[in-house]
Amino acid sequence: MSIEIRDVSVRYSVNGKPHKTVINRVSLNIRQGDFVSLVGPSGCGKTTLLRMIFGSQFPTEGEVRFNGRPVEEINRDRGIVFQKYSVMPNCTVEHSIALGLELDGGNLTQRILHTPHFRRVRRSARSEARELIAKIGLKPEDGDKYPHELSGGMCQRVAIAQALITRPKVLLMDEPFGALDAGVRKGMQQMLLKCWQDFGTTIIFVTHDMEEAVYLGNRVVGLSQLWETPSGEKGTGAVIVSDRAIPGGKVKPYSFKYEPEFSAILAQIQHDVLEPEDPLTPDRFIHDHPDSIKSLA
Amino acid sequence: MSNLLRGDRRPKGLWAHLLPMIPFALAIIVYLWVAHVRHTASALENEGVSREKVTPTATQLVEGIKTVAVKKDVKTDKVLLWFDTWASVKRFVIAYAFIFLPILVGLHMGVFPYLESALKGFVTFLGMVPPLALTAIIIVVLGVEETPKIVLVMVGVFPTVALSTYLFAKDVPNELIESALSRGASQFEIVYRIVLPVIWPKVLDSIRLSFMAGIQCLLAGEFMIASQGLGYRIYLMKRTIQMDMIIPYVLWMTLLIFIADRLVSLWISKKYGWAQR
Repeated sequence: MSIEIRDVSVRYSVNGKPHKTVINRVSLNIRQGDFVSLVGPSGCGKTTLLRMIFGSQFPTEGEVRFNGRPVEEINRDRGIVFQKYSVMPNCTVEHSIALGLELDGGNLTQRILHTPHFRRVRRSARSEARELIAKIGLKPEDGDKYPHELSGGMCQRVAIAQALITRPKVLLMDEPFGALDAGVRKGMQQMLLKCWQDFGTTIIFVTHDMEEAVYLGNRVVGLSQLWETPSGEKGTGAVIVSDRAIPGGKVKPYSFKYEPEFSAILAQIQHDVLEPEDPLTPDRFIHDHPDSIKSLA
Repeated sequence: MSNLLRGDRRPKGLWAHLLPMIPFALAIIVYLWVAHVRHTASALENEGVSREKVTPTATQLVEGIKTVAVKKDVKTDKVLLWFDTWASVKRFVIAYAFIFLPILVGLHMGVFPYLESALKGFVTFLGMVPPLALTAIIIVVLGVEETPKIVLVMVGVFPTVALSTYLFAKDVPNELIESALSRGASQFEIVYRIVLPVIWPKVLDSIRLSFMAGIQCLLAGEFMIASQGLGYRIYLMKRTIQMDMIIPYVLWMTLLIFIADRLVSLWISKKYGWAQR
């Protein structure tokens, strides 16, 4: 699996007037198995970047390649978890999770005729869904519940499980824990790290919560429109101002949050990405991740 | 005075059942009193025999119900109420058997932007045409048989159902659709396995709400031209001011609508509990 983002810009024309640049010539490589946190101030286009990898939005300039091919549509290679509305309101938990395998379960005639093939696919899908229910920390009896009977955190667990069941090569997550309170978040983060380990999926995780980003990811990419050109002019559009490898091992223990190393990196990234008083110039961008590409040097 | 606004001050026990009945009881009492006054006045004018026809008394109403619902009509040799009910219900059911058409139109409009762009204006236009204004055209074009009445119901109901289905389909969060696509759903599956099931209870509800418009159109059609049916009979009885039969007919229709409405409500709440939030 590889994701290559090459000189991608996103511009909007407002009422035919000169374009507003949201993302300015961003390049990025993401390799198999990484947990990439994508952070940045609101409006910096981190969700846009994620959607371009997903295939639901396209760059104005440049190219997003997945396994060497330009991304042209949404498909089973890339799973997604949104902040909300990822879960079907009319399906039980088990059904929701199994859906990804059932959608693959033969064509319409097989479904209507209930052919043995269709029944076999459905049976194995449901049993796999039940295994996943345990993995995401729900009780077996929760499998028969509908989303409206679940808490926000449980719904997001289901959303993660339903995306993982098809074994996507990369899991894209757009503020998945954004609507959850701190206590619930902590449990969700642990669960997500465990899933990352078990499934070996690449994860791209968009969040505005810096602490969450640094704790979860082994790479933090900071996208920001708060930067300056060497001559001191305000930068146009967001660029990658920070691309850091996070130490602490693949799956960090929760105590990592209390290490001085963690605090130092967190403070640095927070400054680099979010500080409007002291905007970085390209020479101060920190790109210490081995895969990082300096596009504006 | 105690605070009547508070949420927990609700009628309880017997009161909860009694209070809703009070307006009905009042209406009946007022009616009977008016009827009594009118009949007394008429009797005074006409040497002790009441010729009042507008407000039949309770006894006259019971007689009227017997005439329409139990006894056979001399001319047609049919029990009128059942005969007419069957005729009207048949038209109504045939028209609603095609309700899948506007649902499919609205559903696809809501999912596919090209269809939306092509059809939205036209369907909105159709929905703006007052269906009753079309009665004349429909009868001229389709003749006096069953078809024009059925078509009139369709004309009155289908554009609204198509538009509301379209709005429901459009309201389905993009996240649901994109998430299903990322799990391998085809366009066909997006329409029929994701969007339709999600909006189905709302569609049923809009069908339920369309019953009233449908019945208005059916009655209008039957007023215009028919040889049987609830609307036709009321129209006929109006000429001879047979209020003792008209009132039972009206109440009977109300009951039919009530039952149909309840059945669909029940269907939604029993089968689609997840839609009740």
